[in-house]
Amino acid sequence: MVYPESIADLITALQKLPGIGPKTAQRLALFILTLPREEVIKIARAMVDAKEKTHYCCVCGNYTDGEKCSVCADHRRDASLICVVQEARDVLAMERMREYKGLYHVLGGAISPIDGIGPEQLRIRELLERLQNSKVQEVILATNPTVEGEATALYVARLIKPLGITVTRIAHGLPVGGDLEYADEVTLARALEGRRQL
Amino acid sequence: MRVDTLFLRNFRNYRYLNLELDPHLNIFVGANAQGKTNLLESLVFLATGSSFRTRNEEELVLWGEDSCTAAAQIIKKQQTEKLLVTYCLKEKKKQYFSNGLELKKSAFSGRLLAVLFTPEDLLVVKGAPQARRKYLDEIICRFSPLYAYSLSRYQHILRQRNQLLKKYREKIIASPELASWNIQLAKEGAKIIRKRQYVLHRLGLLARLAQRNLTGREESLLIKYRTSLPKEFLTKDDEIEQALLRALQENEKNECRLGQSLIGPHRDEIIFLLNNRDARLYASQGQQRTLILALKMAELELIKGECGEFPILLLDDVFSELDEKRRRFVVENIEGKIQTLLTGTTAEGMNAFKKVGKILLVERGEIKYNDPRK
Repeated sequence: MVYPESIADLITALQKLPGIGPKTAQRLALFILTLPREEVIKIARAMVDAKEKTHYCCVCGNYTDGEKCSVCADHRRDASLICVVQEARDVLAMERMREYKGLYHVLGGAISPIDGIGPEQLRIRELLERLQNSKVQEVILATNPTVEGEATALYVARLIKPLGITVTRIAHGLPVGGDLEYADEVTLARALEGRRQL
Repeated sequence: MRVDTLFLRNFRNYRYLNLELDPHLNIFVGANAQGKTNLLESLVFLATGSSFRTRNEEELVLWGEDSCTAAAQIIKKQQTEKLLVTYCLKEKKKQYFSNGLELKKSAFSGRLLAVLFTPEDLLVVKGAPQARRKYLDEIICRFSPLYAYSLSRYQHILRQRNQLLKKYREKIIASPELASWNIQLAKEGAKIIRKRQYVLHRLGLLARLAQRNLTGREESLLIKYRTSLPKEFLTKDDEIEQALLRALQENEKNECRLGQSLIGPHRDEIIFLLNNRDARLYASQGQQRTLILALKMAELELIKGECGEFPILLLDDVFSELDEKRRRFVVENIEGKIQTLLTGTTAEGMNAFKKVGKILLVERGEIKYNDPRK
């Protein structure tokens, strides 16, 4: 069946969203048609608003609709601790944990020569500026355990160490609650590699 | 380990095949281009999840059909397991099943263990260093998933590092960015080198024994692993890692000038010494053939040692190339303990086997059971 042009356009537009294939896009488009007009405008406005009002925090690079993000603006946070992550969405993941009380720094990606991303394209200079004359005592590197994330962590560590600040890297290994017997060989071997003395 | 039944559907030139295999010996005879090698290919497909003949899996599907299936019932450690791989032409996707349960390729491959010996294997001795590294890597990957992981991670690091060197050349010398790739390259590289040295040492001892027996003690085989490091015999991961890091630093200028990585396991060499001379350069065609045969026999024993069971042996068009003495050696080594599938244009020379297995005639994608020797 051939859709009227306006519906076809909507389906094409929805398909640009991650995780949405042609079938889901069609289902969403037809659902939108059944909604009352105000509801549709609300959804559309929410999308535009989010896009226009959100930007990156001037200090850490996290999402915010003010000048500073909610973490940086919160004076109760421990300013001696900075956790370095690749993307702003990683901050959301860390915050869900509700255990971490320090600050963040979002790099905006990881070093990847193949994709043309070098240290200059990341917010590394901003991080170093932040660390100058600050009371930061420890920087936790929480980039992904991929080859690129590891390269970024090693690079950042090398620049921070001369400042006399402790640099740590998050551990990787077995998931919590995971039985040894169900872990795949590679995860298990990596966990063994990162073992520590008790 | 053995394969009880092989089932093919629209695989290469087999529209439908349901074949019961002899637990010991299966000889497939037939003219050229009838589908003998396709059978061995299907078993490798089930063992590794990939074809050894093509990267373009569309070729596996019978002309005009939209998917192909290879399945087998195997027996290992007294237990049966049903393996199945399908390739769908439209989605260009493979699916792997064990006992009806879908698995990832990494979890599927290695459930059936097979050692394949084809005329092209001569390139392992004769060809470029890359062929020898690939040969060794494939053997290790079969029983070490961690090695496979290290290898793919290493190749990824190498691609990134090469891109960096190519783009910035001299500008990148001694930069912290290059250093962060050096550290990773050395770490994964050390694991690869150590594992290769370890496995090659064991394979070397087994192959040395086989070569001696094959040549009536005349030829002494020594396999060496040559790294790009100044000091050769380091056995600990961290020693090799440190040596790699130092070598990377010392060669940085060179690497930046050429725009590529010159140090690491991707440049290492495996050398076969026959009576102390490099077999690639000085051995005759016949000696090289014997050497690869010795290697294959060693591979069977190595897998038995690592996995606790002999793999199946697939001989593609090589048995008829061997002389009487070498045939006898092969038969003595495999008869009664290793399930063997071999192909040839005729059944000539097969009487070297004492126990008669199945002799099967392959004709245009169909198999006939009548014994061509009668």
